[in-house]
Amino acid sequence: MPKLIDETLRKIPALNLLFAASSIGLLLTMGWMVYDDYSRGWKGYQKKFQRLEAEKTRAQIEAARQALDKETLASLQKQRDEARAAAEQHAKDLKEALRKLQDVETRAYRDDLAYRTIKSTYDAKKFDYDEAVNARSPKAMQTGQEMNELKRQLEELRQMGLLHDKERSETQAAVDQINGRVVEAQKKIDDLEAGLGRLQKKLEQVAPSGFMKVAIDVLNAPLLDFVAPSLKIQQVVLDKVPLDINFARVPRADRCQTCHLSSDRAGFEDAEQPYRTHTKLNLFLGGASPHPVDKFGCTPCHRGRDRAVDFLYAVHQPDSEDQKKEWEAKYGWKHDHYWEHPMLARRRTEASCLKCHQGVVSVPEAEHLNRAIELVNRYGCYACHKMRGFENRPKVAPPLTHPTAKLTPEWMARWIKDPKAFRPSTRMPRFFGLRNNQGPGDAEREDAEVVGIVAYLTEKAEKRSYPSLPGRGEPERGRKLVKSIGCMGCHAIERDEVQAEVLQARNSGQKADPIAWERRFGPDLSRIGSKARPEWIYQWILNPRQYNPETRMPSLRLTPQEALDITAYLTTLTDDTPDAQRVGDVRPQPAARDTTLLAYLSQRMLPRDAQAKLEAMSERDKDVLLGERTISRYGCFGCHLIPGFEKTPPIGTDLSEEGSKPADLLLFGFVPIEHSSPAWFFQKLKDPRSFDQGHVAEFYDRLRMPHFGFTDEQADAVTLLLQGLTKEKMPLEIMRRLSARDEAVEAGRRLVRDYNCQGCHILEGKGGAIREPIATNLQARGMSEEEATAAAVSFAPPIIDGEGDKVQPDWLFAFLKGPTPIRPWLEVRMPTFQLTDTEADTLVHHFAARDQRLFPFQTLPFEAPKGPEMQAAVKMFGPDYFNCWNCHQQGAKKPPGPPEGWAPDLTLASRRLNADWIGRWLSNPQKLMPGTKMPTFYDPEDPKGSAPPDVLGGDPERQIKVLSEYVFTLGLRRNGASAGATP
Amino acid sequence: MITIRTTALVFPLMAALAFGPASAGDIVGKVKYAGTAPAPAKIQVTKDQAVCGKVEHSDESFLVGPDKGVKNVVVNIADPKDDKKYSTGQKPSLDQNGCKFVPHIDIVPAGQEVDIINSDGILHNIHTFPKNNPPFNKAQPKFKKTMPAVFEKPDIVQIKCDVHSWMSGWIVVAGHAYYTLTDAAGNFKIAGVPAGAYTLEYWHEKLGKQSKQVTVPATGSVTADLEYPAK
Repeated sequence: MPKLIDETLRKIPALNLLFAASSIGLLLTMGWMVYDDYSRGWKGYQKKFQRLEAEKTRAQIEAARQALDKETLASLQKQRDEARAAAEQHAKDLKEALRKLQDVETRAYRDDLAYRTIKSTYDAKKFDYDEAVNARSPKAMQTGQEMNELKRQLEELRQMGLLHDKERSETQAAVDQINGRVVEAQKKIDDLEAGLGRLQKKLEQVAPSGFMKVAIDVLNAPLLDFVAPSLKIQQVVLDKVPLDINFARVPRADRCQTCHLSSDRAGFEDAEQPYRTHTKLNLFLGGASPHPVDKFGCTPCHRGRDRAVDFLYAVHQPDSEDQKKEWEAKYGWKHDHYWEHPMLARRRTEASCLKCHQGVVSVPEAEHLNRAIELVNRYGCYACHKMRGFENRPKVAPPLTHPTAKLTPEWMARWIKDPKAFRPSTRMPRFFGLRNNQGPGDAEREDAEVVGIVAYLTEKAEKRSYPSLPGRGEPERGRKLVKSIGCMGCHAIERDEVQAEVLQARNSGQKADPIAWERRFGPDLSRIGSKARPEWIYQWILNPRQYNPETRMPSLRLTPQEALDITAYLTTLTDDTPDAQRVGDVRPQPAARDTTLLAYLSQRMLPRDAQAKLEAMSERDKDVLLGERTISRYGCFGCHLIPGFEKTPPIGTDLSEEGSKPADLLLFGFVPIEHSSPAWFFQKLKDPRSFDQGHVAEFYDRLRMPHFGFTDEQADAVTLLLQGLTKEKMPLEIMRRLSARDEAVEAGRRLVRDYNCQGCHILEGKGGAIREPIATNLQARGMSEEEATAAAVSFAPPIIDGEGDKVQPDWLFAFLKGPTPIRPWLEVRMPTFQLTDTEADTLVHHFAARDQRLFPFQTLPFEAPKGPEMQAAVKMFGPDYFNCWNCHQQGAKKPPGPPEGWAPDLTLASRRLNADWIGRWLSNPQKLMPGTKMPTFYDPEDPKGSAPPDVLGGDPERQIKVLSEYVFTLGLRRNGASAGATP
Repeated sequence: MITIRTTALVFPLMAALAFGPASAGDIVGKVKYAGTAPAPAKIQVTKDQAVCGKVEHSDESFLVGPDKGVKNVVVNIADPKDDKKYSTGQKPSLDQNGCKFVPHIDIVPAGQEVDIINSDGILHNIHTFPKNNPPFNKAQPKFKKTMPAVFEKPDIVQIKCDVHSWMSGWIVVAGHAYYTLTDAAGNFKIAGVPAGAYTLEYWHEKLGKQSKQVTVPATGSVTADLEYPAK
């Protein structure tokens, strides 16, 4: 056996080669590691941003140069040069003066120093002396002498200092005389160029050059960049808005600004992403905004991965199909289902507001979210689904405790089968004939179910009927009333108002509803005559609460004749669909009914027993039973009050934390959509039964959510809201908390929404929908479209922003409880809402709180003007001046001409108005109520020039004060001791 | 003497040749209404009889002559080629006389002060309903004989008086020189328009706005006969 030596075991040259190759390999790997660690996408964004900022600064410098007043600059430079030349002629004197100045400065400094030193010694000596005197020490005498000596020296030096000051100012004056004009001109030049200088300094920072550039490049170099690189991750740690990662709440570390470098800086509004300034900088990110970036960061609202510094890793979400395609091409974007909180699509970011803004009618400036909240309230999603923030809402649909007083069974069947076939704009969703019930036998079963529901409702209905009409109405008079007294604030008659083609397009989902949202508060009346019995209509419009105590429909204080006229008109509004095109007719299906019932009964008993039970029942009982089972299955009692189901809990899924539900808990079935929760919500809202597609299921196991016919816009809005209903819990200090005043405002807003005040009034910049039908009426009286639109402002109910400032709380309370006409020129009537005391009080408090007025009590000043001031007031009221009584009513005394030219009764002022408001109104009525018929007597831009010159010295302020006092006390005088002073 | 007279003649002539419009023509025509206009309604004076009742009041909003010519149609070109300002040679004004706005349709130049006159000596108010200018509603009591107003942007502004609800008039704010109003027979003429193709707009308070293409010759005139269809 040969001896084992290295050479026999290894071939050294080969090994050398191997080691060489692997060390090179390792070196390359290390290089690659360093490179890979160094090269990060965000650095590219930061470098690009530096270039962008430098470019921007250069542009600003250029603009500043352009803006620089060249002529002024040139003349200043000329001045400076001339001054300099002049100064040079006295160079010798200047030199001498400057030397002297320096000399003075030196001496002054020396003496000042000496003064301070001696002063401290003196203070110490003074202390010693006091001590010595107090202790009756023998040294006191000597210390006293030393102290006095020091005091003498101090005084000497103080005087010297004053002398130096004098000398110095004299010398300075001499210098200035020679040199001053040069300095002055230079200073002006510097001021002029200051902006430019600042920008140049900034440019030097943004885009360093020379040595600085090299230094920064070194600091940013691979392996050295751990020291103090200029390219670095920008991070904000947020412990107040933590991230909930199952069982633990960890602070967020938002790194978004690593790439979104200027999101919190104005000036980059037009820059391309990721550099664009936040679109609402006044609300977000800015230090002075309610959501500063260092407290709220980015991901608490936008979601996405907080620590990510990579486009894909941050889980950006495209806002549209186009953007999605663009991102797929540019970044290789694809749906990332590993991160549970992907970023919200841009248009749905407002979903996050709900985390902190809860229990409010609307969130300020969150337009999309507010739209969603409106939709949920209007369509009553909360009736079947529990939803956070929508608790304790009233039922959205009328009670079905006594429907036969209003409806015929035939109409009910037709309606239940397909509500939109009768009234395309209805909120009632469709349950029958949808895509998961299209199999053999389904149509017959559904007809049997509809017949059953009608049978159940009529069987259980409280038997109530109305007496026949007490007389005959005149439809034409009724039509005029309906169109003018205010019905059109909440209802539409779309068939009269909108062209058939537009309605057709709306029905097929191509166009948005042409009628204003507020006017969809009540049902469309186009076919009401084919629905409701005339006797019911008559009683209903006289007093809606007698039929439905919960209704929001108010009384318009109709006389019996008016009610008859309106009934006569409404009964002419019938369904004009030709029979051939009519859908929704229902035929009884006894066979299908029996099979269906058998299927139901067999769930709980033997088929044999079920059969026997069924055979023992009458036809009517079978119908009623199937109706009961169907109502129970579809949960009709969520929206309607139905006898027998008063206490049944709603049937829908609890949606209170739906936004936190991971997509894998949602059943996508075979529907080819993106597997994300927003995509699922949208699909569910648009086509609720589609997820049954391809599944085999018994009819009672199939999806039950009805079809609302949402447009894409509506479905998208509700999707936003669902995304916002998350299980995240925010700390109390972050949550938006309402103050007592905010709460009073908010409580009123709830009533404003629930009673649809904005159907008629403009409030908080919204509403006034009735203006459009009013304009239509004016057009019918011969005005052109533009005239009518303009004039409608004067003939519409008033804008009631500022009502708290305007009227007294107790007057408003009484008015809300029992309105009395204030504006005689209006045909439209303020309805009687039959508000409870609490409701009226809440509204009054709302207005008072919004205008920061006292509520409910206040002292009213009622000093009438006296002597010459009284005469001045009466004079200004007179025909040669403001001629107030030419339009304003004065108690029982009416102004000339027809009521449409009249104005409110001024004797009401003392009971109705706030005294200080009258003055503000007189000063600028158009500001308080744009479009008012009250002319402006005092031009706000020139009150003095427009005031009557010969009254109270032509002083507008005094005139207005006297007029206010006079108006405010008119009613008091009439009722008071000096009755008879006015008519 | 003769030399002087010649010079006096020649100079303006040369000036006209040198600086006057190189070539300009007129647009003339007539606006007709195809249908039958309703007889103007008589207006009831319900207030201030002593002043307002002095003159007859009738609705001026839709006046059609015997040969279907429409009165008070504002005709203007939409796309002027120069920036000449509208002028009548006098300061623009609007009068309230006999509780009527006089003239019923008042063309005023944009940006110039308009004198609003109260000849009646009773309380009136000027309530404007503009589209492009800020609205105002100013009282004009007896002691304010004239009141200035400026309309900055071209516009068609309805004016009303809330004291006398029948009072209605229009202020047409002209952005340039080429505006005119039809007479009682519906005839109009816009003079001195630089040659070229234009869009001619015509507006009537009840019949609305329409337009037509015209080409103005270098000299002479083009005739544009405009017609509103029956309503």
